[in-house]
Amino acid sequence: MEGMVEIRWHGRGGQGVVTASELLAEAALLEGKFFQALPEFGAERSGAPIRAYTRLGPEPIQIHYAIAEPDVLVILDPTLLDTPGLTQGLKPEGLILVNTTASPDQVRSLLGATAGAVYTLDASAIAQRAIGRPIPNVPLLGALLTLLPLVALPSLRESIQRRLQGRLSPAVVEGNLRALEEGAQAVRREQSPHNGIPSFREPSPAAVAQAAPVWSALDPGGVILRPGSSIDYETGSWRSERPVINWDRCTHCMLCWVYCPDSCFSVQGQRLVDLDYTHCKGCGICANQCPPKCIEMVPELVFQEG
Amino acid sequence: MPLNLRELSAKEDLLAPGHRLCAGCTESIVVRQVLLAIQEPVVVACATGCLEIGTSPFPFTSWRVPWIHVAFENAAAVISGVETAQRSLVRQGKLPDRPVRFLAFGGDGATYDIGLQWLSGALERGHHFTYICLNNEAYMNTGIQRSSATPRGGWTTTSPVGKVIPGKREPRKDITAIMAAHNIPYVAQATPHGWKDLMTKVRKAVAVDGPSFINVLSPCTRGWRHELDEGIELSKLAVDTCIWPLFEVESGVWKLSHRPSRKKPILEWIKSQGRFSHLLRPENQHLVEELQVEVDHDWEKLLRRCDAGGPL
Ligand SMILES: Cc1ncc(C[n+]2csc(CCOP(=O)(O)OP(=O)(O)O)c2C)c(N)n1
Repeated sequence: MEGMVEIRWHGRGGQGVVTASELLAEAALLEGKFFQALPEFGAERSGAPIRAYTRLGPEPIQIHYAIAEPDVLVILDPTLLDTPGLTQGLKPEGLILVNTTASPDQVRSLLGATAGAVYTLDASAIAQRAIGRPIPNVPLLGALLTLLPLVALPSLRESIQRRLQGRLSPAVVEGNLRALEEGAQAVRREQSPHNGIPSFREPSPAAVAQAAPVWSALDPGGVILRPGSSIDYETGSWRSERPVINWDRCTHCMLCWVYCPDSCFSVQGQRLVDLDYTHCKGCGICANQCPPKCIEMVPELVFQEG
Repeated sequence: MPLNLRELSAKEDLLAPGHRLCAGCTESIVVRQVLLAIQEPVVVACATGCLEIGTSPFPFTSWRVPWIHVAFENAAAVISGVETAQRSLVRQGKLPDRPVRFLAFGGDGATYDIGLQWLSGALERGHHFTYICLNNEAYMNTGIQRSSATPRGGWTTTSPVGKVIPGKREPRKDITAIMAAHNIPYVAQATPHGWKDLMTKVRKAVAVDGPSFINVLSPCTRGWRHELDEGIELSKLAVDTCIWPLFEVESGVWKLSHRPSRKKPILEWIKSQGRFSHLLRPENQHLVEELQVEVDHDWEKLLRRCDAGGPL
């Protein structure tokens, strides 16, 4: 490892995003390297997309903000692949590692002409087999180390053992170590060759500006003057299942409307007319409560794969 | 406007989407129902907690009504001040004299524990406001710590399950009765499943001349460990098992709002949520029986209160 390497992790609450960023950092600590692991989430709750950042380097790291121009992107949830700005700032020679059943070339066609080389791993399936739960973080770490020897595999094994021992059963700890090895073996490469990681460069002014909000631009007293402005914030990306209405059977009883936590059902002239997928978080309460059972929850991946 | 969903659906939704509450959270369902029920202009104060954090991450707000947040413990004090200011400004002729409804929302942590003396004070001073407790039976915003609303046997991060302790050891506090003991004009318990019951109670609560209090059971997917789509279903099961009876206390007269046709065993409630899963182990069988005795006892006590029309 020559310069500093910056890794941005994208996943959802509950997938071990923050833990992954920390396990890697702790392995670096064991090797006497310098590191940071920073989670980033706001008021978002379970199922919401969250990010985490890991910086590793041979020298002390003097910067302390979100990673805007990563060398590596690790995507823990395939339903995040169509998130706007997902690959933003990725360095041209960078690397994208995705937990998905799809091939790297399929992911490439979804992502379009973004920078970086694409790698995939069905990490959820590996974890399901190894620990009985589809938590993709550890297999992805194994894959990452195969692609980039950021730390030695034994250091990562040790950081996993330190973290899990005593907290989880020996079988689950063992399972995680197996998942790490399997992830290292099973990663799939894109056709195009990968050029390796560039050494550290100064962050661009744009990246610095994005990381630091300007306090003087805020309204005094923290007053928010636009009622209902959260409508601009799209929570639809939290969804892993989508409610689909069978309009033929809908009786317009409005129970879905009154029970929706996210005000997603639109009504016109006492009839249900539409469902707001930009905000629907896919909780499924509407489907659960619908008396004629005319709402079905369909996995988002079905729509992504067309 | 009658309480009929088709009629109500013509009303503007006063809570915008795009808030950051968990998928399947019932707190926003309760808030939507409360705001839909009220026919006059509304001012809201929120205690710190999931609702406040989830609906107001700067620079966004989900509220389409005037809304204020100050701190965790003082929503009742804050809304007292707002209500008093409004009265004063009307008297000075600076604001038109028309009915405005003042609401405070707080979680069970804010209501049962840290904000209790502030709430008690505001009720005793007689401010004209409605306090709504969104009771998810723990401090959820900070990651599931026990509160005095957490039921006995319930797992939280601060009432853990281990070899020595089977979850929380103490029974929950009967805050609704404590509120009724303030002799305020209106007190009630409700659930989001019973939307019509809840909305009827909200209309009564805001119309009385003085303070009112509604305690609404608000299932929480993270803290109760249930599936995302089960919140409404569980709020019904709570009524059917008599864990959460629906009743109201109008000017000191206790009245049952709903009597389950068949009282379901508490085991059904326990099986429905991961926070109780340890109670299903053989060594905890006796706890389930004790909890059933407690629920039966509380239910009988409530029935006697309602028959007698007042507290015993
Ligand atoms: C005086 C004070 N103590 C602690 C906190 C941290 N805090 C913020 S929200 C919260 C928990 C809120 O729990 P609850 O009132 O039950 O509402 P919920 O989030 O469950 O809806 C805590 C402990 C705080 N903001 N202020």
